[in-house]
Amino acid sequence: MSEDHNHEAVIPGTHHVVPHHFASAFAEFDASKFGMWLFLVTEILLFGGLFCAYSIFRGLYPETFHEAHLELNKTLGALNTVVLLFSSLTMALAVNFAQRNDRKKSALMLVITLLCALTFLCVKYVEYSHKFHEGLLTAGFYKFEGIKAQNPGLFFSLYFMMTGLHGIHVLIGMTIITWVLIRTRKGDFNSKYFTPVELTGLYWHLVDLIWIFLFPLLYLIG
Amino acid sequence: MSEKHDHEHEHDHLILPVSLYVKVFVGLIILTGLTVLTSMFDFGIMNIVIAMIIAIIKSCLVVFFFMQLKFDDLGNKVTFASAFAFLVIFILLTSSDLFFRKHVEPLKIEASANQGETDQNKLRIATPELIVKGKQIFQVQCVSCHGAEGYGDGPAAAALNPKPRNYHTGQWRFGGSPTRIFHTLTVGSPGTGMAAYNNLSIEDRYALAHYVRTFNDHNPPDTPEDLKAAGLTGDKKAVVVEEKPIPIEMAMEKIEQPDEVTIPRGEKLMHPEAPGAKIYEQKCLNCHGLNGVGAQVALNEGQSPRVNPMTKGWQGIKADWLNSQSNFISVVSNHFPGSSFAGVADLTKDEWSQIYNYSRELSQAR
Amino acid sequence: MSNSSPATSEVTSPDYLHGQKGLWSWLSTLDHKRIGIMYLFTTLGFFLVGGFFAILIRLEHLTPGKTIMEANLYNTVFTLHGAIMVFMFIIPNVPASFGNFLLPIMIGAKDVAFPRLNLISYYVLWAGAALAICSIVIGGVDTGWTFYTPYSIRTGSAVTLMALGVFVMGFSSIFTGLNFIATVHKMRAPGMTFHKMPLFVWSTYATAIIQVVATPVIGITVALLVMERVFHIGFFDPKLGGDPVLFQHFFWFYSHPAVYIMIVPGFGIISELITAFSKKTIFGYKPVAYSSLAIAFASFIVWGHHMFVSGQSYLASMLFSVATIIIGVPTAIKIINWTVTMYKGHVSWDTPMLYAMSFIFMFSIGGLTGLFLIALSVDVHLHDTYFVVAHFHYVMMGGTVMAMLGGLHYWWPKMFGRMYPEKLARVGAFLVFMGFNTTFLPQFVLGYLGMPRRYYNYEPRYQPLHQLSTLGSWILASGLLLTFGYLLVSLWRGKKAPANPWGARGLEWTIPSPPPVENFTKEPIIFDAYPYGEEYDHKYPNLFPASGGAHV
Repeated sequence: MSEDHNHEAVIPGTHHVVPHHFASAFAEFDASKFGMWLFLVTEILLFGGLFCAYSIFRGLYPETFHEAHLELNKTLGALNTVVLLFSSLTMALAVNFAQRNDRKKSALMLVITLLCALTFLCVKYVEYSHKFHEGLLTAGFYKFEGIKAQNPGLFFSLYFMMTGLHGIHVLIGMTIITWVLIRTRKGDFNSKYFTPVELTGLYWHLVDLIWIFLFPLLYLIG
Repeated sequence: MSEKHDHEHEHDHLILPVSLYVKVFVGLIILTGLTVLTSMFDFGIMNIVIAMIIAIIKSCLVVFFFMQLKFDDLGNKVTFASAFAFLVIFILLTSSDLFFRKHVEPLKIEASANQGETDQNKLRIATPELIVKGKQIFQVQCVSCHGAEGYGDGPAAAALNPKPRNYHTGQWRFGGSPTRIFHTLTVGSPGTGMAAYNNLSIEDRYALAHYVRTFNDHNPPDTPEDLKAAGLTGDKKAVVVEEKPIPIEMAMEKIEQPDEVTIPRGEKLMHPEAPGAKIYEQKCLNCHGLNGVGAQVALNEGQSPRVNPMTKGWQGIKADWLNSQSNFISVVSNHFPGSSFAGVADLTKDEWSQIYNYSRELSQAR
Repeated sequence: MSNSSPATSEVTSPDYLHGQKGLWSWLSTLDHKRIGIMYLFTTLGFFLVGGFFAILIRLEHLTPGKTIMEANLYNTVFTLHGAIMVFMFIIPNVPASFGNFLLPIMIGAKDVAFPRLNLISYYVLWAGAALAICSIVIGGVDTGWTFYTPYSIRTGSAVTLMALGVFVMGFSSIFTGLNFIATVHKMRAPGMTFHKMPLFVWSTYATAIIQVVATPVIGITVALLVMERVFHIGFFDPKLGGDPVLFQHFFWFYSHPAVYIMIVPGFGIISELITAFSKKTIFGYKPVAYSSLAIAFASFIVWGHHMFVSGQSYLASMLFSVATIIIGVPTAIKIINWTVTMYKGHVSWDTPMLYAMSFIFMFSIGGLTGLFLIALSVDVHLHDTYFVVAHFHYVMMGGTVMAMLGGLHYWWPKMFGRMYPEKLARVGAFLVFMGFNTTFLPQFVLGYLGMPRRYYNYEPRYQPLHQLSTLGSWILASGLLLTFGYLLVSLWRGKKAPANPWGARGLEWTIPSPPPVENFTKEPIIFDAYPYGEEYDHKYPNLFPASGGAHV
């Protein structure tokens, strides 16, 4: 830290200037990644509240959950699971290719990730439309007649809250991935500096992680 | 955690082979298929256990390999794991409440609806057995407001306005004869904390009525008007007309409606030029109504005047406080127990005379 | 002028206040010190607003029944007092003002880990505050600051807007906490080990852990409340099969750790004040440091003690009661160690130390009265009475606000390069102390005698105590207004401050007052925490010149 103040630490091959309060480029990368893991902790706790509500209501109304979940489309749910897992693969590869300085492949992987995300949202749209049509809505608006167990609206409230919050995070993820894609194509990243891609990857894997739990809990109640 | 010495070196970022990612993906797909498959069979409680185990394995694959946590430093590992630790605490302790509540057993006293004697003509006559039974029920259902000795000073009374009935005063809002008290127990006392106790059987309500009458020696018997009002005449077996409580939704709607403070103003102030009329208008009108008709009239017309308790009409009443001016002053200048009347304190001697005479006039009207 | 340490008062390095000029340079700053100052003025401004509502409450309680407002307005006034004080003042104030300003300096860093995130967190606070202000302008909220369901679902007041405001302000807290954890782990100067960090850093770090873990849960809670009101999801609504007590679990899982967000930074300030004004190193550095972490972790297992009479199961109530007893232990360790630190120290009674002593006295009362409340059987009688109100005001105001005022006076010369007037400050401290105790001590008695909280009416027998409490509120308000008054005036008229007016020993006192933009113009010399005593005089001969205190 004994350089004079005018020295700008630019990472070679990019336009990125290492902020002066960091001792080195690695320090910046290390701190940024740590910061992202801290943020993921907050996401776990945010969704955690919904998982807590799920545990409580499933414990209180097991028959309701069993009967109500039959109205969900397992095939579409499984399809969405596969799509999201695949998008996690492509996102991880996008980071990997950025590390290898392969800008073209990294961008391609990002595009495929985006398409997968879009597919996910389209499938969700189909599912939601079906629910609205059938009156399978939140408890206060619930109109469907076919479930005999008590308080079926609670299950669908949970369904919409959990998949809804997840869907919002998919949208946010798509926005961030688009931004990273644009920067990748502009040549902002290389093997020495790819932090935004790495951090985006971490975020996207979290989105996948949440769905790994949502799918069996909502769609596969045995 | 000391700082890494890296000023000059490049840190080698770990670059995993692409094939590893693909293998992990394949594993994830297989596990997904497995979880779908197992959900098609009924393993009882094990279904959710198996599903969660598979989900945890899948998450580990994503976290350790896609997110590279396996190859990352301890700080990130501890950080991420701690999130789940706190989440588990949240779910566990919340469950320790939601799943471990005792179901409240109904109180094991003799009271329950539709049991026991229902002939009101019989029940309205006090018997030692009824009084003992009434005392038993009173000690469970009533003491929290009315106090163990019936002075209206139970623990909950601190927060009630108006205060609960003090049975020793011999004052009653709707009348102190057995059928009248039975009626109060049946429908409650509007504008107060006294609820309707029609969940108790008819016999239980009469038992309570007889018990609370024992606190004061001078409580009235049933008059012919009382019997008429109760639908009991002579020895005919009484037809019990029970009102069902209103549905919860309706009660909630009624609670949300704002109170109205209007007293009927259909008529004009009597003898408005009388000196007492001005004082009446300033100090008495809002609660006692035009010409002393009382807030009860407003209540009967479906309004909800915010006067607790309801002021009765003065027409035709004979009461000590209207018999002499000194009585009038002593009653009206003090807080009236059991009501929100705080007393009138700032009148001159002449003014007291005026309002006394005016009030007498109102009571003798019609 | 100052006879402070050499090489600090030349003009080659501009101080952070004057380095860049103009409003935009402040609004777009990435300097943690400027961000800290902006937070300071903002949160103290909200404190005055919340205090205004408090004065209204106390005025209303001069008489039973109506004094200056109707019952419905009263409900709104006490709700807003609580919500503004909790979410807009006391949670952000010490961490984001003092934490932002001091944390990097205390660990020898140039800035926090993520300066842009820091600035964003400040604007996010304003965004949330804007939503809250909209809610207040429309007519406010009348549910109590706890927003209990089902009333908060049904009431027509502006709950949705206020809930959204709380949601957004939560992000400010999360970003601050996240930044601080990353800063402490990754930005310490070479040689600054964890066990050389000042205790204020430990406490800020522990607070940051709570902020990151707990705040998302209030986020989901208020989000679900809004969903209840708009989409009738039914989780917390008995009409739809939900459970209102579940809302309370969600709410208190954050709000209990939140009270430790409020107090733990205050603990850190007290450690700094007591050591500086006793000229002695802290007794039991490691116990005090780790007790902050212990409190942070333990705070997550006790939330149900707010729900003893809500219909919670006996099992849960017992678990939470026992867990709460445990949390008293690390707190007691601190009080004991602070007191022992003063023993045989060279104690001086400047205003910051007066506030530290107020803290010890009043926080102890607050903490000990908490013991009454965690005993299940006693809590049945005291819950929702003025006893609880007095308890939490003693810990939050008698605790955190006293610590904040002490820290404000202690670091005022460092932040602004000006001294405050010491005589006037002592008058202010005295008024605050007397006013606070006059306001809140009677409330313990009121609660014990049965006066419920959040009640508009009360029986005439409570009136004398209420009137005494209201009188106290006027004394307290005058002390606070006097204090803020002379502090503001000192920005222009105060004596210029030396680098180390107190003769204290910490990294922040080795740099000029106010500090230069990059904090350290040379690589800082890292020493043990609180290096008071002759051995350190020899070891670091020129680092702590005997410039003495401001009062010398």
